[in-house]
Amino acid sequence: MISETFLTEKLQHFFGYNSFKDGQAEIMRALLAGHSTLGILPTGTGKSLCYQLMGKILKKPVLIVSPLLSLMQDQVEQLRYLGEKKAIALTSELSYQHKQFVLQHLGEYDYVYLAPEMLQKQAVLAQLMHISLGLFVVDEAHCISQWGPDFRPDYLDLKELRQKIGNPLTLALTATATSAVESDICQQLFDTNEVPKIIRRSVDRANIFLAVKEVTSQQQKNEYLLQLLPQLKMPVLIYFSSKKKADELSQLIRAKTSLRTAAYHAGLAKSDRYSIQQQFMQDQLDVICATSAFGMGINKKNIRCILHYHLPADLESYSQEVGRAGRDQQLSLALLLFDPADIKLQRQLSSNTLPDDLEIEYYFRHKGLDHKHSAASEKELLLEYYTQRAMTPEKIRLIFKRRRLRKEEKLQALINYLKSTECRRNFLCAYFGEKRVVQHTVTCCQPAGQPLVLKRFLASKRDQTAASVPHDYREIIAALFKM
Amino acid sequence: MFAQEELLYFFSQTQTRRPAVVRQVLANKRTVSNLFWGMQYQILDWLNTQPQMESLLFDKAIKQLLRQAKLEQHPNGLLLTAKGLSARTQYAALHYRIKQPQLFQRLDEKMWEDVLQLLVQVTSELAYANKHYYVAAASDGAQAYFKRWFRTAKQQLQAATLGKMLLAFLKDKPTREADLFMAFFNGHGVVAATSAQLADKSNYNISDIVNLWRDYAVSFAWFLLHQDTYFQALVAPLFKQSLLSNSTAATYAQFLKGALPAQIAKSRKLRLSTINEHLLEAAIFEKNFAFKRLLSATEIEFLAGIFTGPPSSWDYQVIEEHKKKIDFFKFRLFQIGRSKHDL
Ligand SMILES: [Zn+2]
Repeated sequence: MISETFLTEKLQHFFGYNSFKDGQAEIMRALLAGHSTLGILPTGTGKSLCYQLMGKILKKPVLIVSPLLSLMQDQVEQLRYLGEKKAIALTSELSYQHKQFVLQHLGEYDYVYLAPEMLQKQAVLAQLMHISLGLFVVDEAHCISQWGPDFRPDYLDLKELRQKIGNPLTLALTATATSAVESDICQQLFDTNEVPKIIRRSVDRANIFLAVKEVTSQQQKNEYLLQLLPQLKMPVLIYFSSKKKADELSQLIRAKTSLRTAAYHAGLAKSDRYSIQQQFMQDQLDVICATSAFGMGINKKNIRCILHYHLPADLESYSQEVGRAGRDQQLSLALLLFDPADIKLQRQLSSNTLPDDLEIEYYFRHKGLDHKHSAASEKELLLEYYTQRAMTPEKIRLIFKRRRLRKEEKLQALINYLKSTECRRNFLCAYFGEKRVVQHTVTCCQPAGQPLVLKRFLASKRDQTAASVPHDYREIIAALFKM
Repeated sequence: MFAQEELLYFFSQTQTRRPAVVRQVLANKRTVSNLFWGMQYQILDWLNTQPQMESLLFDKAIKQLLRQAKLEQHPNGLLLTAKGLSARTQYAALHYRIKQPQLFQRLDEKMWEDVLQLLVQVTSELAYANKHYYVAAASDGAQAYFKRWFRTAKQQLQAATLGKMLLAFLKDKPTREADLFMAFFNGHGVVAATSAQLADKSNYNISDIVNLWRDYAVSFAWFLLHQDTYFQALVAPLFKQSLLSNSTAATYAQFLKGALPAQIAKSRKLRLSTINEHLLEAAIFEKNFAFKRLLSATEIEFLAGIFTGPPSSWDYQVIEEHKKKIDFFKFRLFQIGRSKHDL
């Protein structure tokens, strides 16, 4: 048995922290005892530290399968920031020469991030068979489950790919998983004779007050937001489901209040995205109007409020997004602005990503989709995946019908949450299949129909002593180069 | 992408111009025909100033300008209207226009912009002896290129030297523009503003801010290229030696050594028509192009006899009517020579 002291010493030595967050040490002990593990830890509990430290202790390469390019790059940046030079994201963004170089020296990297489709490439697999991996990590493991909201068909091949490289010690990680998703992950990833350890920590966060404000129109929503926002403790992160709205509201907030705000979404230039993250980290921004593209790599501890301007996709995304508040354990607010008309919008958004019967028929007749419509390429990829596996149109129709149904169920669960007159925190625990029961009080959450009391979340006096940013070019140059 | 009104700069009230040529010159689509007409329109300085331009957006903007009667359709292209001219003048008074467009065809702009951000950030952190920071968003290629230079320059690199270079470069520029340019850099304890934030603070729009930054960035590269410091070694490899495309440059090198088109075609294993295209490109860009090695005195005399007026209005058909055998290549060469007043 590996002692806690041993692990803590390593943690101190490599990362400079004095103690683990809940769940981290248990995961590492299981792995060091040779058990493959599924870790279900809420956002902000340092999931990536588990495999980062494992790499240091085992002194062997760690391979991380991750679904999102931006996520991988953030993680690599973070490792480099910690002084780890041998980390790489093996992505299509690398030049051909660079990719060849990385492939030939794969065993010399400490951390290799890649997307599942990269793992399917023969050249990559061939290299991996020659390397003695310390740990195989499946990040965002819920993507493997057809029951989950972010199902990615290429995750289904991971079991087979993992077998090909000799079933290495594996850590699957996710922030949220209902019990159905949990058992699905185990089944889809591990052989029947393997029994992975499951380490789960509650999604419930005692320092985050959950509330919903119902409004009857867009107009009313904007008015409420503009009136509330200047009174709140900062910083605030507002989630939108469209880039356009994020831009619009960011402008409106700038025009009508003295708050410093910026919009953040995938439509911005890379350099602008970098600047906004830095400004936010350095407290030069009060409010960020973001799409779900924001937050992946951001580790800001003192976010005081998460506002949802639109409905989130489902309770899984909701609890992840809300989990970005109050990582410093201080009291924080999660407030969702709910206009019943938004339900229709969210229903459209979620069905938009899946091909319908007509599109499936069109695809089979023309071997492609009409690109006049948005999201066509995403749907095409999905269809391509299934046809490559020799599935008939009927079978595919059925798959997507089922998935649409699943999405509708998820949306219904979200609506039930919004309208719940019981404790919202208990609702979430039950939804994720946890046995935990919270003792509800007025400071715990605001169930539907109860008054919304926000006094504890308001700033007593707006702090206007924000550090002044130099504007004169000579001052900027002097500050940059210590002249 | 240029703003809609900015496209008016590329049209004239007297010379009909084809929008496709304008678009392809801005996007650096280098066919001889595009280059030739770009030269006739006197917009070749703007070659490659909009490499990312989407033709759909460009076409939409032109349509809009036609609808607003700022441009009008003629059989051979578009003309700027009086209304268009006044819109252009109004636009010019309020917005930023690139001042050094000709540098964009000489420099690997994308690479340099990333390298410049890295240079400022890394040097700034060095000034404060800080090693722990998130590196600004830059492509892998730019990071690798920068690292190679940095390894050799590190020993002598002084943060103040870069500061002094920037101060010297910005000294004679309008202060307001210099402020906007410098607001775009990240460094130790200094966080860049976004283009939207700068647009908000100034009277410019986002497209102005982006153009200003690009213009100042490439001009600073040009400035560093002519200063005797270790930064020279960082910028020099990013500048092109010649304005010709690589294959054209190879052809032209042989031509300069005295080879004739047919000989070049043979030695380079290319078709004669391809070599002729290369020579036309060289004739457009090169100073002192030896037109008379390809056109005889009698050919020049004949062509000068039947063609007068602006070269862009000449019609090759006229030669055929004179039953004289002069191919299109020579006709176009003569046209280029006359346009440059080299013949
Ligand atoms: Zn409660």
